[in-house]
Amino acid sequence: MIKVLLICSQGASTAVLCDKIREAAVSRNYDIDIHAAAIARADEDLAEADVILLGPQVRYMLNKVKGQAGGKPVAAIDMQSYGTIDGEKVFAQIVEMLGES
Amino acid sequence: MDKFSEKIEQKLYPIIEWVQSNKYLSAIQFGLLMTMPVLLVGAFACVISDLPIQAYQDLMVSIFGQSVWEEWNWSVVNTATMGLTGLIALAGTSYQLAKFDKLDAIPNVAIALMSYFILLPSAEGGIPVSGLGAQALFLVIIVAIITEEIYKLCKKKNLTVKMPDSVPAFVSQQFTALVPAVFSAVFFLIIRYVIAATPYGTASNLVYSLLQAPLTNVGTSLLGTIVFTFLNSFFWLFGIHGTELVSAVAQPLWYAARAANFDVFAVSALAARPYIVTQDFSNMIIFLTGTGITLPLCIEMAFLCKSERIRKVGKLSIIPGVFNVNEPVIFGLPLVMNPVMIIPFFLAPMAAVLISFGSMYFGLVPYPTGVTVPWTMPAPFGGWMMCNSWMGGLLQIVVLLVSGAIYYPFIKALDKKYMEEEQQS
Repeated sequence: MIKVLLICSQGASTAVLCDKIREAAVSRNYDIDIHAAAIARADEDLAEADVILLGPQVRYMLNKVKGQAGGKPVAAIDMQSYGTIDGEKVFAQIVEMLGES
Repeated sequence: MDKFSEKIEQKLYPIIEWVQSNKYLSAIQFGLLMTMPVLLVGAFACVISDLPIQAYQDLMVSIFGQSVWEEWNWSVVNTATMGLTGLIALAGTSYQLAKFDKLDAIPNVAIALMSYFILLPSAEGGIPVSGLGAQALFLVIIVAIITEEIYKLCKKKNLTVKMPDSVPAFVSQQFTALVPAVFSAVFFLIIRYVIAATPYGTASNLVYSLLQAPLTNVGTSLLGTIVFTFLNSFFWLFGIHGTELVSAVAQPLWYAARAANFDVFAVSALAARPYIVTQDFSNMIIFLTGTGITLPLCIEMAFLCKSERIRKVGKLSIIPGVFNVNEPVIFGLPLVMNPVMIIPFFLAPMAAVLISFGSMYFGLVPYPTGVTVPWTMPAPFGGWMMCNSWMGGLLQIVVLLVSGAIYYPFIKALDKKYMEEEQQS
């Protein structure tokens, strides 16, 4: 089971992307638990997650989140795949991040 | 362009990180956010109770009786929702301040509530309800900050009542908060009587007259609004969540303006309301369909452009855009650091502010009522709910049409450029 946390500003714009990533994961037979959190409330969810992704609009928080995540893989989603809600591409990024850690 | 934008980003990041992780700004924002569900209950109660259809009103009176139907919203629900904005913001802000410094949050909230009630003016028959609403917003913020500082200081200096180890933790926690509670009580009692000796009389009056009203007047003026609108677009131009940053500073002012309008509206729907720019004006005009007022652009992209890429992003972005979310088009087209689209991206929201401010100022469209509109409410319903008049909805439609006209030549130019690129590859 891969637990993914997606952080954006209010959790609204990222919800659709979550669904797309879940679809991409399921089609590859991955067991995935993914949800979006608002940046103001993300602190509590960090401990639960295996991989943490930031929406590009809050990527300036990358270093802060990295500090809080205690060595877990943290990255920002690139603007293009975020804008086109490309679940496949982001899922590939997740798999790559897990491979590196 | 990339090198240039990277350079600017390097300069911007520290500012943004500072705003985002600033203890006070983030706690105030959290406190205001806490009022949202309750404010929305109040807003929908207003819509249900005041729906301007005579047959509906008559029916409701026949079911519930005249007295219940007249009072359930304005005297009951709204006193408990809009009327408690200040109190809820106080709890939320002091909770988050304590969390930031890793103190026990709930005892800190309890002390903040006590301190605030010590400052409240006395009224016949107990506590004045008017002291708990958003008119007290700035006072609430000040009280939350001072009580938490006192709590933190006591903890740091070890000024707490120590219990023997055999006492259970939750009991000794309450005693930890005892000393800061006493200090806060004494402090605010003194402040109360010092202010009572001034012409202002009460802390609420002092803070309202010296801080809240002047700052709100400046921040919600045409110039202030243009500055906030510009900054919002400016940050988004670099793909940074400008709305979050601008709100950190502007939201207390917009909330205060909303409350001032609502207080007038609650007494009479026809009386002149003081502010044009409120929290709801910002959501329904400045951020309409997302920063840059991009819904008309998305429709043009989906149906009037030829480039595959532009059409695809346009189609994806229409539905979120209707609900005032536009990250897909911002990052997908992209609007971020796009030299062709910079001009309309700034021009469209500026035009929206000028048109809306002007049409309200000259009396064509009623000022916002102060009723809370959910920020995802689509146009023209949001505008209608904001102004309690279809003129508000019409205003939103005009704003969208103007925005569409501003974007059109630019997206056509971009379409041509992308088409050429697509044909080459």
